[in-house]
Amino acid sequence: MKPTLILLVVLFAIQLAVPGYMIFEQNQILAEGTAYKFKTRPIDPYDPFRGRYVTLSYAADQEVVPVMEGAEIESEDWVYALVGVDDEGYAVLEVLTDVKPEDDQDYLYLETFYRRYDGGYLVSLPFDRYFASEENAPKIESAVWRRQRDEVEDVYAKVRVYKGKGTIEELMINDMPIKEYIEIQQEQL
Amino acid sequence: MEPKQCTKNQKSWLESESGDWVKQGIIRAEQQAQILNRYSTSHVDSFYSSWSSLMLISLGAILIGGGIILLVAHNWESFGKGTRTVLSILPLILAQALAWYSVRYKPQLTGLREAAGTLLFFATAASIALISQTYHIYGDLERFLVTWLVLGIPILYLIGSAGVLILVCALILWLCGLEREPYWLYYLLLAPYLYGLYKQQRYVLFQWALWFVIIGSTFSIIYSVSWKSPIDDWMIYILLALSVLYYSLGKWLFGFKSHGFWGNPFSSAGALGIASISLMLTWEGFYRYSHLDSESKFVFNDYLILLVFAISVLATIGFIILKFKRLGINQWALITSMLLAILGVIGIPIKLPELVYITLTNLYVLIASVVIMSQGINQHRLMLLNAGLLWFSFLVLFRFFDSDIPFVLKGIVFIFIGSAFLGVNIWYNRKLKRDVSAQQEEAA
Repeated sequence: MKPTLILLVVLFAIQLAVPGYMIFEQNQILAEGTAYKFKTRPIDPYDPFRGRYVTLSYAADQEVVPVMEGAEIESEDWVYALVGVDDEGYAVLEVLTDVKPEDDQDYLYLETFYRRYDGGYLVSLPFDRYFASEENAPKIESAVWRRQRDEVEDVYAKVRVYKGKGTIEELMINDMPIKEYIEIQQEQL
Repeated sequence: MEPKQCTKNQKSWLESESGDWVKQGIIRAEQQAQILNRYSTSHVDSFYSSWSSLMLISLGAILIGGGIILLVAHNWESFGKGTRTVLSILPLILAQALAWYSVRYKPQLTGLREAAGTLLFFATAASIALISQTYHIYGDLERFLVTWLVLGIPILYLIGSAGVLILVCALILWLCGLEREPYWLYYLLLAPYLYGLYKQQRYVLFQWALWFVIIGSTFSIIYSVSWKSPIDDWMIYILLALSVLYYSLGKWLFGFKSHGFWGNPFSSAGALGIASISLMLTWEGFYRYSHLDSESKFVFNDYLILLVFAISVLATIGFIILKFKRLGINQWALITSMLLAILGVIGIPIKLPELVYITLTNLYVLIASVVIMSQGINQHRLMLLNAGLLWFSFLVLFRFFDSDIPFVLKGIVFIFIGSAFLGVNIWYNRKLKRDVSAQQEEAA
């Protein structure tokens, strides 16, 4: 076989390996990661490449995260954020550090946003997209907004966290997957 | 011997001329055939046929592929994760199969190869995007584009699809607009492809590809420097230096013979850059702020661009030393603009007043444009004459509407330059007449 053809096969293999690895990585996080509930509020934009998605703005995004003593961190640095749970059972980012934590401690690898006067940082959680169909994305948004005006708000993303990486497993309203919730709403109308 | 490539017009001209020579008995018919065999139009033909079919096949393939994706996307949510994953990889596998078929079994079909390459280029991106969607992977556009680019560039080499070159240029430009990182270095990966085209004498494609790469890389460099960069105010001088480098490089690589505007992309793009930037520098306001912004932080990209500046200056000096004897006065006229670039950068530290710098740039454009016009007349090259005239006219137009110069001064300068033109014209005509009569006397 000509060298060009061999190289072509290698290229094809790499091209397949990239999405292949992405699938593997996601499945690993979903299978082995710890589940956390990140309190959220979705808004619906439109992505020309990947279709409709819902941008999730997390409660944890709005909190200033303190820096661990001795850690040297600046704006737009990639750091480790230790993940914990608050009294109501929602996930919180406890502290930021520049040293990779031990494996028994759950953490997320993320970028700091900007520094606050008290020395802590605002960060943005990377898993902020929930893809839905062009039909459902606006419904998710309106369902959630209506809920938050009328009733007790309990919208959260079920996120699996594994070795610094997090991925959304499901978007939940009142402990019910969002698709089921929308279906029930449709039936009630 | 490999036949030389020429255009269809050149070939048919040669055919009719050599036919006349045969009739006049200068050469024999078999000699004519031998001469004609030394020239071929095959690459040129294949270029045009491949481009027209590329357009049609690629557009068709992309539309059909896009349509299928949209149809599938309509029912997307009802599929399980497994089905979705398979469907996401499917476009990539189909495009790979087409590419394999075209390279392995139909290498002579340029159109098919172009289409397969373009399709594969888009299919890699489609697969990654669809997988991201299935697993709600967060949208890091920069990482997505880099992955696409790295997977896409080998398509250019292995499948030899010229359409991919344009797409790759666009992708790099996009990346440079996103981040202050030296993504423009990716253009270096295209250099072997361009060299290959040149070696294979596929000149038409080579020229167009080179134009794309030159324009793309220049704009990418501009975009990669954001307003926050400390060298932001130096960029105009660095671009001027880069233009001079392009101009010199064109003359260096392709020789001093005129190739027409499109034929020597380096020199033409360089000359355009020199003319437009020098005109900008004749205005007030650029030089005044041309110092390093000491409050901003230097990043890797800024150092690299300073390196580009240094290389431009050094390479131009090298060019002047090596080709000193061959440089004509019109080449000197363009290359000396490098001094304006250097002065612009070092001007503030050595306390050169703004008035002096602006006077120098105005004088430079005035002299250089007049030199080029006169060279155009002397060498009977209409394009050179028109280019010089255009350059000169812009300078006059700019200064006429320049509100920073008092009317009286403007008036006096205009009258002075106008009289100089008339004077030179009268002197030149007299000289011409004297020369002609001297020749006639000699002949008598």
